[in-house]
Amino acid sequence: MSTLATSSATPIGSASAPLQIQDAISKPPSSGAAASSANGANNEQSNNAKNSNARDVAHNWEAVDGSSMWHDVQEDADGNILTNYSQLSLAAQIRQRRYRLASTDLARSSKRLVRHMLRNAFLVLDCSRWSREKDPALPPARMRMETTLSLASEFVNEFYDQNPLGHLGVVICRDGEAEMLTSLGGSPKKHILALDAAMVNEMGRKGGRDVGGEFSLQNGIEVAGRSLGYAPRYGSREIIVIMSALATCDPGDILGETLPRLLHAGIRMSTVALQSEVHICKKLADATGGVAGVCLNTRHLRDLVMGHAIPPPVNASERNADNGDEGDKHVNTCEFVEMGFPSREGGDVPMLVHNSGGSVKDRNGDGGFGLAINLATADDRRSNRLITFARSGYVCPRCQSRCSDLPSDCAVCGLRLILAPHLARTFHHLFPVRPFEELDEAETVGRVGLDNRVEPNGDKTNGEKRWEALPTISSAAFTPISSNTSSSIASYMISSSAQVMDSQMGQEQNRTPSSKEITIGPSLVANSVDCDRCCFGCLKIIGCRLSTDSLHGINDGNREDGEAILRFQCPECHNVFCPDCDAFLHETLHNCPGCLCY
Amino acid sequence: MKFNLDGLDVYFPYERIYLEQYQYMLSLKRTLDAGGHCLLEMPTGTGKTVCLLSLITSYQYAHPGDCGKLVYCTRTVPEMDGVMEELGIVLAHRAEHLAMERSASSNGGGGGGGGGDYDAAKNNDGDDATTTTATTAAASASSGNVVDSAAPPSSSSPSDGGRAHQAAKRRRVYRREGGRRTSSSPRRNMGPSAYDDGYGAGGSGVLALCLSSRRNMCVHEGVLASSDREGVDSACRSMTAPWAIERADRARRRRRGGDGSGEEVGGGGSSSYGTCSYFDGFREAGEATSMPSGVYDLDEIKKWGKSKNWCPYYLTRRAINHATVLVFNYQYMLDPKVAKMVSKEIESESIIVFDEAHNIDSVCIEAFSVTIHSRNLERATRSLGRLSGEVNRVKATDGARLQAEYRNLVNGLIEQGLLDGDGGGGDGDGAVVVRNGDGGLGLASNVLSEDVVNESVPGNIRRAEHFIAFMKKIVEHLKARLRTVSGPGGGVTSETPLAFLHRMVTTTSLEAKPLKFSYARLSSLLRTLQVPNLDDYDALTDVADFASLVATYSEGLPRFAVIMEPDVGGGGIGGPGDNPGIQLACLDSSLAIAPLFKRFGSVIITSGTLSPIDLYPKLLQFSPCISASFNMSTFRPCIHPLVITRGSDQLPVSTRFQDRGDMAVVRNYGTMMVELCGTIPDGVVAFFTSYSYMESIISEWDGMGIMRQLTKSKLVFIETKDVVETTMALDNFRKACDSGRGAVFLSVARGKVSEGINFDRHYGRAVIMFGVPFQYTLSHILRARLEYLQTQYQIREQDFLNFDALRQTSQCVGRVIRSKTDYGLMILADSRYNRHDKRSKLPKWILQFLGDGQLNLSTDAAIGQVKHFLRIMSQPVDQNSLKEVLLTVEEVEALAGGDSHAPFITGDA
Repeated sequence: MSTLATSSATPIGSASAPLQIQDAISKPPSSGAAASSANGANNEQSNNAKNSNARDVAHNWEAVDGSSMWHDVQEDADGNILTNYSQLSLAAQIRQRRYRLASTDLARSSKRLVRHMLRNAFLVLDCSRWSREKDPALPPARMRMETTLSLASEFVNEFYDQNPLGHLGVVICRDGEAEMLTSLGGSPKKHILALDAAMVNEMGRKGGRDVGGEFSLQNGIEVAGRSLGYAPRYGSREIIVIMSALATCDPGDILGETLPRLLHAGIRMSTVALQSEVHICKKLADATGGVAGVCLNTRHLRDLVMGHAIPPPVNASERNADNGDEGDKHVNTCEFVEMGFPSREGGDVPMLVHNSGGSVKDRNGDGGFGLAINLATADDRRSNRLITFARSGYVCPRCQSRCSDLPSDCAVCGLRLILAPHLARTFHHLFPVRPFEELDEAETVGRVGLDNRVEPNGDKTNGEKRWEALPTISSAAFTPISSNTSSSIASYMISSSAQVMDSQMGQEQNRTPSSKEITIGPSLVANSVDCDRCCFGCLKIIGCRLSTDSLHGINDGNREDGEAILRFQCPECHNVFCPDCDAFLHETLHNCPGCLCY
Repeated sequence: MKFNLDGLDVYFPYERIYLEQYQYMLSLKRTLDAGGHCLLEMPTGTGKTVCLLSLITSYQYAHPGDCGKLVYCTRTVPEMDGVMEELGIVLAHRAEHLAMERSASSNGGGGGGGGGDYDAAKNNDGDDATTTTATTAAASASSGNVVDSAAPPSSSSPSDGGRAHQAAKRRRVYRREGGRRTSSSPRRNMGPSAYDDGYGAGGSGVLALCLSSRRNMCVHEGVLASSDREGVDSACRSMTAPWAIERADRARRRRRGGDGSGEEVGGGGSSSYGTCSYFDGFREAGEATSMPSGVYDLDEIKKWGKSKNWCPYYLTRRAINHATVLVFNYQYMLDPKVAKMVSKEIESESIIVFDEAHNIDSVCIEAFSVTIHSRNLERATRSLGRLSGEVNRVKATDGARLQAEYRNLVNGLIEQGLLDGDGGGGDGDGAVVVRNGDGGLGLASNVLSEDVVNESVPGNIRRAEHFIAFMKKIVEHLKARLRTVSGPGGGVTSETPLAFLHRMVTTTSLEAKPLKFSYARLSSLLRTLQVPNLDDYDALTDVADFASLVATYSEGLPRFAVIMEPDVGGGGIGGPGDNPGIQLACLDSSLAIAPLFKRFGSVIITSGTLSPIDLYPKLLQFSPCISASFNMSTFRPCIHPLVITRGSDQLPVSTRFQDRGDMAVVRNYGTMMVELCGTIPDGVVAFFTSYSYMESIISEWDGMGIMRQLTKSKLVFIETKDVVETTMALDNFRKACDSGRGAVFLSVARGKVSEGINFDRHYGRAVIMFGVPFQYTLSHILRARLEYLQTQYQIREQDFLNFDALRQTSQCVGRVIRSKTDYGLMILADSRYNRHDKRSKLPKWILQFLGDGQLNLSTDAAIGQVKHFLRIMSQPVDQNSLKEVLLTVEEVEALAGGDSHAPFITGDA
């Protein structure tokens, strides 16, 4: 490592540096001891580089084959493994992701939209022969179907997490047919169990190339649509298709027969394609107001699928279609939906509880007896509905029957049973956190800037207020970094944009940047005027970079080089956040702490 | 937008412009300034047509006196409609711009010279309502517009019909907007207000016409009832021929004398005298016909003609002289038969544009080539028999007519005889006024006008009986020649016209000189005999044409070849010798087009695929002022060419003659096809080099089970030689693509599908080119032509073949993309494409996307690239980056300022 420090330059993650380092490391330490061999090593490195270039030209297909796994894994200056999903720098990746989310994710758009709160959605999964191929762009050594099904389980959880009041159902397409795996329902357990079972079932099928048969989009839509047609009008009706197929083999004319039906019923159809854009999907999605996405890789596929967990906005055409159907305008105006807020009752004596599905053992850790009475034999169509013994349960306010978990529909009277937090979680989509703006490297948002700024509200106390609201430094906030620095005199540098460019290019190796230095210590934030260098959310220092000589001791430095220079500002409260907090606030918390301070 | 291009104000109908459009217009403008010809290549889908139209109309506007007409030649009727539509947009935009400028500058005070006729044009709305006034079109002076200046301003409120079709026009404009320009919406923001205050037919002081055949233009119900072109033609002729008119006039006069009642119009557009009421109306209007300025596409002119009771077909032919923009088929310009009637009177300063002109040399050659099959010779004999019967009949009933014809011929009036033929029998007032329409029996020989001997017809064919005997001899001679060719010991014979003529003269003891007149003499005879249905005699006319051409072009360099084959076209059903024929093949493509280069100031040849561009000047014998090929500015690499040289087993694939039968090649092509079809969604088009190759490879694939695998992922459609079948296959192909089933279309380079039919968007996500589509090199015509090119123009055989094959390839491959938001794969599957001499001849806009990584691939490597490409391209189009490749007015001005000193155009020549 000591030779490395002298021969290789700024270890700030550049494209070429990891290669060199790798070479240096792979050398046996005995040969590396001699100073004279450093030159030879350099030569060898350059040879290696040349060779690798030559190889790139010769086997160009390797780069685009999708199986370029070795490009995705890289080592940084300290030997940490970086798994980038592209050759972009971390900052660029974050920007890309933000941009993509902003353009695709509906919740990110700054407008406040009318959204469906009560969603009725069907997930149509493709298990045809197309899905039994391996795809180099997706997780290797897995068939597309495995990826799809496991992702579907995740989606189910995410869906109920984002829409506790929503109803979901799953349809599986194979052999040119569509089969309803689970009907519309309010409980995630049922779907996940069914999906697991389907996975085992499908994977067990043998028969060579043609197992799975053709994919039929029309059948899938028809099966889902017929069920959605009974869903109440005040909720949304959606079909989300995850398809691996590039062609659909339909019994009829999908444009002539199915599309009008979809439009008539006001069903929105979205697709996520694993391979490539298929025209019919795009056309149906455009016509019904849905989204047709095509995945680039695993991560993108996840983003696309999870994007559908966020309730879509109600579009005008849908409203019109609704009105046209019903004849009068009461549809989207206020309509009361009955819901029950059950109370939880428990006792020492186990009692019979309606279980909305799922295995008995893993629920109600306190009370399951492992005894299930399956009443679903004759009269109850919903085969997953069980009655179990449990010590606690939620009592339906209308019929006093008990059910085991929420949210669900009462097994007896069909009342929608929820808890207040579910409602709250549902509503946050209506009031999204506005997307933060990325701050320029050189821009300072501090007290100086605040004094000059004229707020739209016009009150001068704004600046004062923010000053008060500034995070006070606690020593705890700095412990992770200060422990890393191994000495109390590590110095940070406020980076300027020029140097970022340099560091990304991997040039300007040994130049010491000439920018403001802040000595770390308890005095850092309190003394410096520009507190924007500190994330409002987590108090991490952002916009700073470790200076070169102090970097060697730090082991988790791989984050700093990319992320630390990104800062995001809330357009409402003008507080600055780090990328992690930005993602957390928007994707998980759905609140801006700065705005809530007022 | 309006911007200044090198000192010329260009009105461009969109708000933003692509860089290549700007460059295109700049080179176009420089060409026009220099008064030369040019060759320009720019990919389709980048708005070539709109560039051409907006620049040239702006040029005309800036130089009102001295730049004549814009003559725009297209290949098909749909293309013509497309051009008219674009023209409507361009002119409407210009009108709007000018109106804005004028109101800004002079506050509606009448403006300058340009404003005057503009206001007049405004009044033309009233034309629909008012009856014809006596103002002739020629009277409107400076801009050459046909304006009806006498129409009272008070009557300028548009009639309902006018409104309606105005609205229709607008609707069309917007529909189109929604279709082809879907995502490039920023380019067009024309408010509807420009139309609302009503300028003529959406025009702005410019009369734009398109010319087409009777079948496309007729409004007569009775005539339209016959479905085919020949039927329409003969039905029309039977009602509009001079003698029919004359007969009707006589009948009318007699009737009028009898009971004094006025003329009555029968139902269905026919008058009671067997003439066409529209033609009658047109004839009565005489010179007084006038058309308001505007853009008339086929529908519009029909509607207008119907409302005025004028025949649109004859109307357009008369209005040619007054039009500023003419749009018509290549043939009207290149084929001397037609050109003589249509384009004779176009002024020499005019700008001639040949769009989609990559095959212009073939068109030129076809215009001069004649093929006579043996069965046609039989038909010719039959028609000669019928003709002599006719002659006898006429002699018995109306001998004066033949006599008059004879007198004319003696006086050397062979050409004029065509027109004045009826003067002898008629009585004065029925004089036909149609000058350049083929009013009567419009037949003209293929021979170029300057090559026609200005002499009177030789004496031995002046009399009808003599001429028929003369023709009989020719036909018999040809028959005899064909018998020897197809008989035992025969074979393909190729002769120069001189040798052929010599033999003909010696065996038939005919003279060479009358042969030259055979065509003209025949048309004169047919006219005199008042034959309505010329198509019965087309075999005979072919023979006469053949004789004239051979005789006229026998001297000097052999620019033709007479080729007699026992089996013409290789398509004989009963094996060789079944379909013997004789062909007069033109070898020099410059023959037809040379007069145009000589006569007109600027001839612009443009297409999406003109590469290799340097061969065209040689082939067509002209020196272009500018020949340039433009890149495509894209916001993403929307074309992905791939050169596949090896199959998955690393064996090279090729359709070389030695290799094509090889099982390894067939199998590799098959698996390539199957794998590609399993990877590419929606439509795929595959081109083979010839029908026979396609048939053989398909049958072999079928045996290997490849077709069965193929049908799993895609439906398979096959192009056949039958047009109806192919059209049906195409329809179903589209349906399959629409419904998401996916389909593959197997077709043939040089077939119908490879030209003119677009496979854009999901109809063609990929084009696969199996092999290099060389011409059939054993064809005798091709051999003769190659030899001629070698000796005359020093074009090496291989060069020409490569040129032709690659031009065909790029034509096929270029079907796949038609707009910038579209994307497509171009897969060239032959090891020969990897060679530099082939590859470098592809158009620049394809080469620009062909990186080193896309060369010399094996099938599986290519599949990887295909998957990657499709994933990337399936991502939603980023509207911002789409806008970035479009230049705004300011950027254009900056561009113009920046490189006014350094000309950036790099011609490829």
